[in-house]
Amino acid sequence: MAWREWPLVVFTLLGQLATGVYLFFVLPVVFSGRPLDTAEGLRPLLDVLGGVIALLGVAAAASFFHLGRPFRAPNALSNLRTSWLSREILFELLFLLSMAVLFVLAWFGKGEGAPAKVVAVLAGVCGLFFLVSMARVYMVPGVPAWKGAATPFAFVMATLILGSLGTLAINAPISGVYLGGPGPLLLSPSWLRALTVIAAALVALGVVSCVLLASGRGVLRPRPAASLKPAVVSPAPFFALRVALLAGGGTVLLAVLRSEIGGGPGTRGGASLVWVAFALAAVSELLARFEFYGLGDGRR
Amino acid sequence: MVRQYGFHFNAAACSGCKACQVACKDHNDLGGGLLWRRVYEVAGGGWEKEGGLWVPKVLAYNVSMACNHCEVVVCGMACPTKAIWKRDDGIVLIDESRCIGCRYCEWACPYSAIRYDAATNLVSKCTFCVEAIDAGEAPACVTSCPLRALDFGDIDELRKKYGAVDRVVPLPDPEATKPALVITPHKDTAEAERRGAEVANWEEV
Repeated sequence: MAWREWPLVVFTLLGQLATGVYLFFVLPVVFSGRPLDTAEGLRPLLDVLGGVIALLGVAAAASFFHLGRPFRAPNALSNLRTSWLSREILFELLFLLSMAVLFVLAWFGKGEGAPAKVVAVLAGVCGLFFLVSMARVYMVPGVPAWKGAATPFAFVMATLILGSLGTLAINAPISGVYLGGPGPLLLSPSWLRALTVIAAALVALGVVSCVLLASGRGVLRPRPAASLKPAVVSPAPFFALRVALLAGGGTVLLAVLRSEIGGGPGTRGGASLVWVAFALAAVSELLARFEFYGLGDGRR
Repeated sequence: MVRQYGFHFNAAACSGCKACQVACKDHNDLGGGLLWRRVYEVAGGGWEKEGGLWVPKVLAYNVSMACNHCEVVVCGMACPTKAIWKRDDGIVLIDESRCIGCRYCEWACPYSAIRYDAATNLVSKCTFCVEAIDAGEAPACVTSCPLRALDFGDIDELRKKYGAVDRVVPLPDPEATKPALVITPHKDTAEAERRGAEVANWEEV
């Protein structure tokens, strides 16, 4: 395992979590038409937006620990013409900046206006380009295991899984209960219910794709291309653990869905279970990311 | 005027003595664990049944490899600081004053030519002994080879002289980078492909 790549693990995972929560939580809230000029309506939005900004800030700070010469970091924006790493950093900064502007607009009670909506969309676009650049950074000829579609697939899946489950989890304490209970729900119950189904489907797709296609371990994995770096395969128990954790998260989510459908909406137990599902998926993605960097670690 | 400097490697002549590797290390005063030129030992094959007999069908040869000063500089394209640049004569160099030690070039290079120097926290690689080239001399690896398995020069001239082969097992597909490299293959190269030969000395390179 590439334990020493922890700064990049933190950077990419927190970046993807922040992007996912922004897309699944912040954007729908801004466009929900709900009043954002009252403290009750505004506070949760500011809390979540502030949290997303903080997550991205921590991600950026962690990335400095990856650099051999961190004080030269500003040089990293010098090659926007061909370097996906330069572009990744640019889009991260633009994403951060546009979210900060949105935060300030919302803070001053302008969260429902057209300017806020424009800034919110711009931030979302920057977040998506940040995600695309992040994946493209690793699609290089030097590491055959990263070069193909597996890398963008893994990064998009992590964003969607962590974003959807994170949004459901954040919503649980805000509403006090899961789905449909009393309280200042920022997201509509119908969107949350749909998101629960989406999250469960994404987790299922994640488990199936791991088992079938994971580099070095998947049943249908492609034959590795010739390389002057030795092929690295993660230990079988490690791979099994991260797949089992993801499957566990999906199972817990299914239990939540079942109770919602069968037993009526809104139990505190449901809210806790959503957090359990998020935690299991997050740990699984953490292990998967160390495994990912391990694939490129030959001879480093 | 040289358009693009390149290396020729004769796999049929190389004995795997690693004199090139050591000469490079000595000439460039490289620290422990840092190799700009490496000699890969390729091995494969096994026992095969011929009639009623089991006979050993094995193969082994060496591949000496450094930076190939590629025509498509994928390391430079990945570098976020423009620290990697190409001279007019095709030699690819690293400007250490711009490098931030992010190591993405190391991931990008399919020839594993770029190496992280833990002493400086920067990346480094073969410079084609550029000061020797500018003085009209040859790179240290080329002059040190006792079997004359290495040569250098304008890649167009090298191709006229030695042919156009630029890949043998275990080298990656040259399409992505167009390396300035010509190889005279070892007689077992075709068998190596068929028998799935592999690098046998990863610990060394």
